[in-house]
Amino acid sequence: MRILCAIGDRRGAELVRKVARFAGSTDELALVHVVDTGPRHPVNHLEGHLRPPHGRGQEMDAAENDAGEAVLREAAAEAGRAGLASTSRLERGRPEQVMVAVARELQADLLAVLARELPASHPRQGPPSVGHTARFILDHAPTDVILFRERP
Amino acid sequence: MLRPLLGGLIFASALVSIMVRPYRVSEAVSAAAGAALMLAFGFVGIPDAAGLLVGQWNTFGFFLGLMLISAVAEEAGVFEVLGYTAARWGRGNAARLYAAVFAVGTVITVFLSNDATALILTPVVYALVTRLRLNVLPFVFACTFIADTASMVLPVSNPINILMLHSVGGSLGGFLRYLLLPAAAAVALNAVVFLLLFRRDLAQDYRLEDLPPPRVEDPRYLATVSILLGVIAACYVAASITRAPLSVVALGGALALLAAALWRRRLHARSLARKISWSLFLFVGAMFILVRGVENLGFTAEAGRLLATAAGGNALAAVILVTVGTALGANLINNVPMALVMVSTLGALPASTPAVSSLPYAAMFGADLGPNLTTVGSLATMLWLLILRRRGLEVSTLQYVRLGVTFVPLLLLAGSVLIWLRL
Repeated sequence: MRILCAIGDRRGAELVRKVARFAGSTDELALVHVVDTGPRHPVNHLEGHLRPPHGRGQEMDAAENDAGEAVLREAAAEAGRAGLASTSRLERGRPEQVMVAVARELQADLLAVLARELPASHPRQGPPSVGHTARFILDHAPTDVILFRERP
Repeated sequence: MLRPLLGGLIFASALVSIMVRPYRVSEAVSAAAGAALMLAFGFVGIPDAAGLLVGQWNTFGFFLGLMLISAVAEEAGVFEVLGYTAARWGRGNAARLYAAVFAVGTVITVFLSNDATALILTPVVYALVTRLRLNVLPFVFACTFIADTASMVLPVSNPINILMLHSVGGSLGGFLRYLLLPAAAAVALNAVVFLLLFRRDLAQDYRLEDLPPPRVEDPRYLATVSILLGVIAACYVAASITRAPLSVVALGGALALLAAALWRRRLHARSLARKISWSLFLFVGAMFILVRGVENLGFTAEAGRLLATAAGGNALAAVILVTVGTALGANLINNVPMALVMVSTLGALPASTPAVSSLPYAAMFGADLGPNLTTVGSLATMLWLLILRRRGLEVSTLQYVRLGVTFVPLLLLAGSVLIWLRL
């Protein structure tokens, strides 16, 4: 079985640990992290037309890629500890849309996602307990979805 | 009758073109076209225009010096070091880091101007926060807002202050008397409101080891630049007190920094030239001519009469009208033309107008804070749409509208009252 793991900014390793609890030894994990390009737009918008370009696009790209690769490495290490084969993939775009597109492309059998990246600051039950990315994936994924929640 | 109509049409068309940017025409070109028409139709005489531009040498010199100083400071790594220092101050707590970013943004804005914070610090903080795997949006919001709210602390904190202060013949004493308290209140309110607003996103820890130390290629150069920046800051204050031209400090400071860059073989002329907004000089110069045109036609005097009538002899009403009117205008057209229009309008007010001595400073407050309304209107629209997208059901449209409509006007009103209290 190919399981696509939606690796967020901080808790990718935790997601893999949860998946590993029920994954079979022959299952393969596709670890996918999407750099959210949304926040770049307002920063680029600051340049305006009476201001010179800030010229730090490459620096921001590098920061995004380094942070994404770091979280993928952590997730891959966790998969290795669980004895599961894994591949890593770094994408850019709107996370929820890219995850769904990659799931379709890879013909994943299952898509695993955390309900929230920051569960501590949100209610554990009810609609606010599921973040936007997880909500979108639940609604639009072309495959089965497993949602990991924080226990109340 | 036709001439005032034609002059008004030229002015309005230039402003609309600046706002809308048809066919991606730059603001500077739109303003220059409008100014050329004002000259062509004789609304402004060429000797008058030449005298006007030459008379603003302090403003132009200050703009150039300021941009050079920011460019050299950036190249030396000052902003990266300040960003890393903020991360160390945070001691692994995102809320503390947020407060530290506010503090760093305030210091940079006060001494290097709002553009340095908005344009240079924001991407530095973006990269830093991304590496720390924190939610980047609150930090981008912090940088963009503090760039404006802290730009009223000193005259040098915003080029608009210099432009207006020079035009009205104001002083550091008057500036601090009327604006120091509103500026401090604006900064404090901004920090507190945002810390509360983003408390959920900031309820995180980070590991400083995820952030590589800033790459300082030449520590001696950085140290020299840092010392020179301190000297420049002190000279700004001294020049403001003695009413010496600030452009002399800015250009002198820039020359000293360039000499240091030359000494350490770190002077890259092309790279430096790219950091200067040359179109800004054309824009500001053209706006001076455009506003002189409407002034010669009597429009700004009429606006002054309308303002005096609307204030109805009430000092607080006059201050609020000027503050809010300038902020709205800065939001709609651009704070440079709005500032110039207000300078001309206020210059036409009779001396008996209530609170007349404070009104130029009220206009500065509105012009400095006004772009935050634009921020709320356009940039923050994007930011808030992203936040809405992330939070799904939590942040309703009503909350977004409520924040956008109440926060900045609240700052404007609070500042107006504080200015009025200083009368």
